[in-house]
Amino acid sequence: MIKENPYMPIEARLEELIEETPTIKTLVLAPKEPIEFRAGQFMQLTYPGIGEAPFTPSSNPNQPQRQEFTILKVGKVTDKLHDVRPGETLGLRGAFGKGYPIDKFYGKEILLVGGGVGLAPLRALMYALFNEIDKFPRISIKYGARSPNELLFAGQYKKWRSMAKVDFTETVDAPVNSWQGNVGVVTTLLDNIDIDIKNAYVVSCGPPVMLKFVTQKCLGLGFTPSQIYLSMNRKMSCGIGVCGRCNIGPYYLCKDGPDMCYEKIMKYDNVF
Amino acid sequence: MEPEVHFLKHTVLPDFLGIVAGDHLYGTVSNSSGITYEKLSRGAFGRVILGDLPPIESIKSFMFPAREQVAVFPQPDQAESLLQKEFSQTIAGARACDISALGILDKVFIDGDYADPFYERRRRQTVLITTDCVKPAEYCFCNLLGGKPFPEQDFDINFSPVQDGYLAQSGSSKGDDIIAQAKELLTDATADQLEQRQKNRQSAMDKLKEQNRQFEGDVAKKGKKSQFHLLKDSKHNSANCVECGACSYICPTCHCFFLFDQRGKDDPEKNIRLKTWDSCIMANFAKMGGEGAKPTPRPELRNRFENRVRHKFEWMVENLNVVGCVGCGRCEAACMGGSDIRGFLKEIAL
Repeated sequence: MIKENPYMPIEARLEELIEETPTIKTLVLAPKEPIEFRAGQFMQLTYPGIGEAPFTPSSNPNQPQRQEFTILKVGKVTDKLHDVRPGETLGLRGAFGKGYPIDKFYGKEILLVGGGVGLAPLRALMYALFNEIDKFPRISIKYGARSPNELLFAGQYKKWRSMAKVDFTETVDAPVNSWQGNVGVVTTLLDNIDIDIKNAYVVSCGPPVMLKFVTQKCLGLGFTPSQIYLSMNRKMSCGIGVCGRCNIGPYYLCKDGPDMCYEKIMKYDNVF
Repeated sequence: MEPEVHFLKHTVLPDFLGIVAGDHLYGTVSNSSGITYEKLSRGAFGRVILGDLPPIESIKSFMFPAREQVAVFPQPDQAESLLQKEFSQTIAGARACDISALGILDKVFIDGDYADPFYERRRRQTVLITTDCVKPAEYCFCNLLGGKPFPEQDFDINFSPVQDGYLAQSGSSKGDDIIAQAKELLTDATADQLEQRQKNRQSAMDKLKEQNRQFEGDVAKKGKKSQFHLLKDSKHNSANCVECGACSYICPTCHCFFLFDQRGKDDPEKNIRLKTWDSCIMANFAKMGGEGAKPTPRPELRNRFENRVRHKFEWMVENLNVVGCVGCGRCEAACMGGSDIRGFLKEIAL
């Protein structure tokens, strides 16, 4: 819900702080008023007096009373957000953006490709897809992290793997000696992929360089640009398409995205 | 029906403005900077100059100030009161290009999915007194974008200089009320005076046509299909840009801003959010947090220059069905690198 003053956040109390990896924490927030969101929509999270930054919740979209934000520590605002203690008050504005076009995905195989903290928005999408699992023939999830201790939501993999019609595979770039799993960047998991490419959509979220190589790989596998959805990264401020910051060509990611069909943005410079 | 046109003697302009504005207004005056806006109290209304050279700045900042408090957090009652404070202002001296630019800003700030209540409040609570451009500046090119050097709509009162005074015309119901209240000061315009106004307007249009003859290319209609890729090799490119941002700040339609949070000066528990002007030409404008993994998406100056130009002439047309430039030429006047938007537009227009 958007208040009359779109720049004014809703107060949100930190319920719990979960340490996910050495660099990633999940903030469980309870906003004063329920906030509805669709998977892929984002919110501006305010650290009072310091600033705000956009995050897509990583929690199930059917919980308007309580949202989880899974955040990598990278800069001024996220440094502060990693130091918040339960009971403290933060601010939330939103939800903004279009969200993933789930209706369009009905009846299709869905390939999710995540990198690093990019699994966070994808988890909200996974919950949304799992909520209607009968509508999808298959959900295949490929995930890459830098190292085994940076694997996000590792405690849930077993459950996801056990679900009918769902498969989950992870890989790491830099293994340690005890690591028995896949090694390599996430695109290596797309080699020899068993998927009905003509009847599938790819959704990817991760750092820009990963999105670039995932896109190239998928195009090489035979996906068309219209089958590829990317969670694009841009700096945002207003969230409502007026501050002029997050555009790719004529599209404002805050309003028209942040997930964009590759077909729409491919003709513009510096997409990745 | 022809609109009623009235004559106001030069000597009673301050009285007229007093009826409109009460105790103070923002009016165009001549000072050491040139023609520019000053906040005037009633005793100084006589300093208002109408019809001369266009003012250095547009009226953007009266609707969209360079810095405005838009939230206090977490004290929502205070934030609401930001919008409930009583507000009204009178602006005297705005030009036709400024009015057209407000039409564009309205599309951005009011007509979108979420209206900006701060802009909207200022916009609704403003009395706009406009004037003809009797002397267009050498950098003016409103005619290339379908504009004229005199306002025809979207003003409250317009003043056209004639011998010994002004012809005043209402453009709104607010304007009609003002004319009714100021009846004692006005006489009916004579045929001679109307002819004088027509002559002045024609001569301003002739001047604009003459000084822009070499740039004609109907950019307004063809902007969307223009050859923006030529920008990269154009001699009118970003080579002389020093990223000062003056073009954006002086531009009557540039609307980029940043929501800047800070702790209150007197009360560290009070967190303030300011909506501050920003410029897409600056290197850090779209720079993301973190190093390397999320670099700025427009790393080179030429990328940002292209973004600024295409936003106005291509993407605003796609998104809002309007060209984001009114031809006021202030960006050329303000640019220390001698940017030449007219030359550039001629080059890319098909």
